[in-house]
Amino acid sequence: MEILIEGLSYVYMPDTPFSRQALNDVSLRIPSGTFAAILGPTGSGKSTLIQLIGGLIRPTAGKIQVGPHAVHHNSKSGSSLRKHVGVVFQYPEHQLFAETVGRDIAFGPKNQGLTQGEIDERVRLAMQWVGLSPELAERSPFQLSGGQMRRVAIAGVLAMQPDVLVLDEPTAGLDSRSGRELLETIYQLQRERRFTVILVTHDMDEAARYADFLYILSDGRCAESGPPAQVFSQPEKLREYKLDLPEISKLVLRLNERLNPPLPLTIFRLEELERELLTRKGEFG
Amino acid sequence: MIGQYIPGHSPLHQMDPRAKLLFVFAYMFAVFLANNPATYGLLVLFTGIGIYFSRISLSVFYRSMKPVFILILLTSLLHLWMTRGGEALFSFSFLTIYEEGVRQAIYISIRFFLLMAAASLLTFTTSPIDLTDGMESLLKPFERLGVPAHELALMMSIALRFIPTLWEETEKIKKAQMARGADFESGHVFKRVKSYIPVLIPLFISAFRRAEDLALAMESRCYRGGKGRTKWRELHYSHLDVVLLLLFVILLTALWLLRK
Amino acid sequence: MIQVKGVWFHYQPEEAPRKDWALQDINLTIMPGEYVSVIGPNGSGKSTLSRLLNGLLLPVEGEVRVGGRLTANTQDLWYIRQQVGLVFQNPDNQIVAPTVQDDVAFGLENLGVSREEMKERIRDALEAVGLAGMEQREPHHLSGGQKQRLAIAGILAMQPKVIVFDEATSMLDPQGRKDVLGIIRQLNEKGTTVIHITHSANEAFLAKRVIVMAEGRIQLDLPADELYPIALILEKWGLDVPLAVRLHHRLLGHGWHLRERITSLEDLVTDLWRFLSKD
Repeated sequence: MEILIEGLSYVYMPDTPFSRQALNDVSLRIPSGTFAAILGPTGSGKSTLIQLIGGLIRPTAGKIQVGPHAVHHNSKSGSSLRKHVGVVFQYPEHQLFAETVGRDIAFGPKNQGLTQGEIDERVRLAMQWVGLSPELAERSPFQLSGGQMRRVAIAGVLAMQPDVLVLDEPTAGLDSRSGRELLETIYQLQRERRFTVILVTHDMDEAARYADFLYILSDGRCAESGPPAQVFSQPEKLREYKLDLPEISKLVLRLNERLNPPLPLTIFRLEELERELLTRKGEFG
Repeated sequence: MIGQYIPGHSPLHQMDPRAKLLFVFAYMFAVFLANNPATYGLLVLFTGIGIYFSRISLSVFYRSMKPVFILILLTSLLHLWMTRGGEALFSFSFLTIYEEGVRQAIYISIRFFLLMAAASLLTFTTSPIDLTDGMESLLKPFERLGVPAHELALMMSIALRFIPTLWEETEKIKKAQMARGADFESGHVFKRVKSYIPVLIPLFISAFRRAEDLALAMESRCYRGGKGRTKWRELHYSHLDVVLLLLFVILLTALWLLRK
Repeated sequence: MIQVKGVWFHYQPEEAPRKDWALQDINLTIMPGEYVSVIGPNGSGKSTLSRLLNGLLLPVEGEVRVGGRLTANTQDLWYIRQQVGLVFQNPDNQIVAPTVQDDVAFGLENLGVSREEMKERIRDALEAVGLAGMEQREPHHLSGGQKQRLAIAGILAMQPKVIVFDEATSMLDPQGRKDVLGIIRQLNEKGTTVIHITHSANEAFLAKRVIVMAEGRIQLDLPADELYPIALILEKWGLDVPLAVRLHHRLLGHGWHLRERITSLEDLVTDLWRFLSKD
């Protein structure tokens, strides 16, 4: 589903001395079926934005539209969005509560009012999607490893089969192999099933590798958006938004200090850099 | 929230928490000495001066006392209705209001207000840490009688430290479950209580994990109970506390002379 | 400074076969002033190891000594914990007190330091981590990175010889991580022995010596510049390999005439410059 955001603002604890404007007149559009990444330093409004998209809080001003469903500042609740947007919060394994993995994953579908047969099917599918073997369904989620617990939590959201999946730093705290495998799983699933993914991350390499489109938040505003090749080719701007560059871009920039003509800043995979260097050698050799 | 600490530098803020704690404790008894308009008036005046010297704006004070006013209203209505004595002022079918009822309602309201105002002034002008320290220090002499003053204070201090953290965590888990379709708002009481299970279980698990982590962190920072420990926070009585004591003595004497 | 000899550890030693133990035959010597990183995937036993270094856990077999004293000797435990400070992963769960300066004071109170001295030590510690001026702040108003710096200040004030950072950067945002890594480097430069436990290869190579742990055992223990050229081996344990090493390996595979061993990104960059502009 397409996500359309217009003039969105959000103020925490309005009319108190602690009042703080988290989002300020944000407008953006995330096309249906996109793998989008939201970037920005801590406190830039990322987590507020995804909560608004997920219909978990109501905007102070402006509107969020997910497919045909819209929420305004005067909407009664965001529940129309909640049905279509699945939000996986940071460290989602901390929300597990049921005695078994299966029952925990079933929580969402059950709340959707599905029949027992449908629920069982949803749970089975979701477990398969995230790569949890079926016999784990009867185990307690609290006996699993950290990486597996996180997969259970994500399956709990996927089982609701949302049209939009929002992930807030899904790899935080995982070691690099588990993190990579997890994102790869989600990426493959998104390619197959063509739902919209919104990934919030601090890891520029993740964003560069998986996202079709990036949105940079800075001080509650959407400061920049575009495909990775465009966004990451402006290192000065990123610095201004207190963001890092992908590791590979740093390497390319280092090489460019003495290469003429410079390597393009649109390289995000090692293979691409390798190929570029090889052709370069061919040309000059 | 009622009486949440408001940082400041007023004379009340600068007083020693022990002095303020002892004062509020004594004041609770002093309030019961009042039994006529003069004594009540004196106490109201005294509390008013206290509010003035706390430099807390009246609107803030009023807002924090709002829930108290509802309680006051309820109890005074109860007194109006139940207390008999004196002349009947007003009668309507089964309800008769007596002079004594009106007087009691007014006195009870004032007494209630005075107590809550004193307690609020204490918490408005004393940071929770200072309160904890004050209590620890006041309880210290009773340690020989088996009162675990240090442990109580440490517990309070850790609670103060973690209440905001756990509160945030509760909100986060609640939102995470809402995102999974949990509904905390509709249905009858039983259903609503039940709907909180998916919030409470993760919260407990997290609190236990935090406690475990914290215990490790404390141990590795050489914590081993109150023995041999020095204190960073020191409390000092100042001339302001002496002023408070003097005022209290004058107040007591005046109350004694003015009461019927 | 720290000697670990033949250490075996498991939380329930009777119940698990020895090949599943969290730590298996660990031998390790850390010299004063070293900057060592311990890298390994989750569950490799690296965090368990950190808890043995200051006697929070005691070895089931073998021994751990700090400055010659055994962690198993109860009467030496407080000396050892003062000498070896531990900074944990979750910044929230290691701050005890409701304000910044009270928290730094906590360890000093435990040590029985006089109030006069506390003032100085608290000031110095907060300055060292860049939190000067925030003495009265409440921890929940600090960012993750600031909380972790506060935790470091709390340890620093106790003037330990060794500080163990147990995945202390893994829950931080990039800025917080950068700040903490900077502090780690400064501390080491001023003479503190640093043991940095991490699952990030990039962070591990900031140290001068890298210990690789997996499945409860020390797999490698090498100076960083010796491990770097052969860093591809880290893949074996699911750890990431620095980008420069991977690129270097691939280009060598294409028969490029680069030096065989690179010890840093700089090496690769200079070689590539030379190589690409030569012909």
